Amino acid sequence: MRAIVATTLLVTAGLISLQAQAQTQAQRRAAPAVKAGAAGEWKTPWGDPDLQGTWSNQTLTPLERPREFADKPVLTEAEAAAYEKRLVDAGNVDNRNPGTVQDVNLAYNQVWWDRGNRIVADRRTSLVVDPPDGRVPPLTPAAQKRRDEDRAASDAEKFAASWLDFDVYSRCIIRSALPRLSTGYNNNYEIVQAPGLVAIMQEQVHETRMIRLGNTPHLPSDVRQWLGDSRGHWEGNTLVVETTNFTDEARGSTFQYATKNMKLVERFTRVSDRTIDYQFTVSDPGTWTRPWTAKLPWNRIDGLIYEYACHEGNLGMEHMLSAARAAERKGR
Amino acid sequence: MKQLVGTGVALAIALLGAAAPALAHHSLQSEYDINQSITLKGTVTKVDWVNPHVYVYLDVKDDKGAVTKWAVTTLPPGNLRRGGLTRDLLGYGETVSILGFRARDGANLAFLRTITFADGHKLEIWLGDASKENP
Repeated sequence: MRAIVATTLLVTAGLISLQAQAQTQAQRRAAPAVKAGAAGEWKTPWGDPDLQGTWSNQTLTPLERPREFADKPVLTEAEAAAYEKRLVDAGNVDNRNPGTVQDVNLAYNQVWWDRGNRIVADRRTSLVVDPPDGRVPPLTPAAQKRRDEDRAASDAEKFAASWLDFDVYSRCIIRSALPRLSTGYNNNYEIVQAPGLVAIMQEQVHETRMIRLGNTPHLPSDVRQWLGDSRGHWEGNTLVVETTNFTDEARGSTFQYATKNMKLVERFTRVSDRTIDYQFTVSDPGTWTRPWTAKLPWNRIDGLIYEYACHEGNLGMEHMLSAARAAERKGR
Repeated sequence: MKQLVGTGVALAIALLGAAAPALAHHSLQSEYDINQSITLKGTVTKVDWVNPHVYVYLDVKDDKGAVTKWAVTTLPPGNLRRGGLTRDLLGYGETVSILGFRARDGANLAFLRTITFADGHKLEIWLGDASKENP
């Protein structure tokens, strides 16, 4: 499979290379033109708002407002520039030769992370917009217990007895539960639409959400899926998606220690040629003391997304389990 | 020089509240010796735009004209694109100079640190102190 993909990419890359020969390297490096437009301008041939394309939700803005900005929901331009520089500089610290244990824990080293160098364009200090303090509401006692148990299970991965002890990402099932936040890298998405259907493919680990449009009911409550069950409809130019039927079958299969009964409502609004305004609200009385809402942009990327080769050629799971057995043999 | 800007593991964890083990896939330094820099000047024979590890294949000629084949691995395609290294810039036949970290096992394999094109355009892939040719 990998060979086929690689060969296809090679042939495609070769064709593109030939087509591009007439251009100089400098011309090829030029920034793409930005097409101006008004909200509602982008429509599919069948008349739905058009969200199609490849997008990234990469941002430096943290989910929760840092304590240092407790009374400052929005930064000035100068403050934003200084904050961005500070975050980027902090991320550029050279961690080479930290020692074997730390190096293994650091894994990819800092060079791998692709969170960009900008906060959100409206210079908010948190992605959370409700509650107004920009913080995720307190966890219920039951959720705190789940969080503590998950942390213990995470620490115990080094002695895992089975692949079942690892989370959904390490097992290459899904990257993480919905809703998706900007993470280390591969924060890229492709949206494809058809009449009555919106598909969203996440680059990592190449799972696709199928969002059925219209007034069809959710699946029966005993049917549970890694990405839940999504139903969407249009409110003006906004795609509103409600997702339920999550599962807690594996570690990491629910969002931030939520239960499988969490309800997710997302709103996708095309606000420019190059930006989708993305907003989500999560509610789960078993987890948070109140629903909360976050907002972050999806910005257009000029290129394709690539299938994430999670399992192919990856010996990680085998090595992690064999390391656990080796530790056992040494009595640790 | 344009530098690919990434952010740190600690920062990512701090921002996301993410679980560190989910990020612990493998170690760059277990496979490559970051204290052993190598410069490869050659012609690109193939690029595997595979996510999460793009591979660039080079024919490198020595002074006597003998060709040695090298493979150089680097970041995911999306990271490279954002840093300015796109498919139409890097393809078959490009003449490039690559500074990399050599594989610990002595294979003709390296991790890409900087790439310089024939017109002098240079991209830094590795973060940290770029002024040190031999860290």
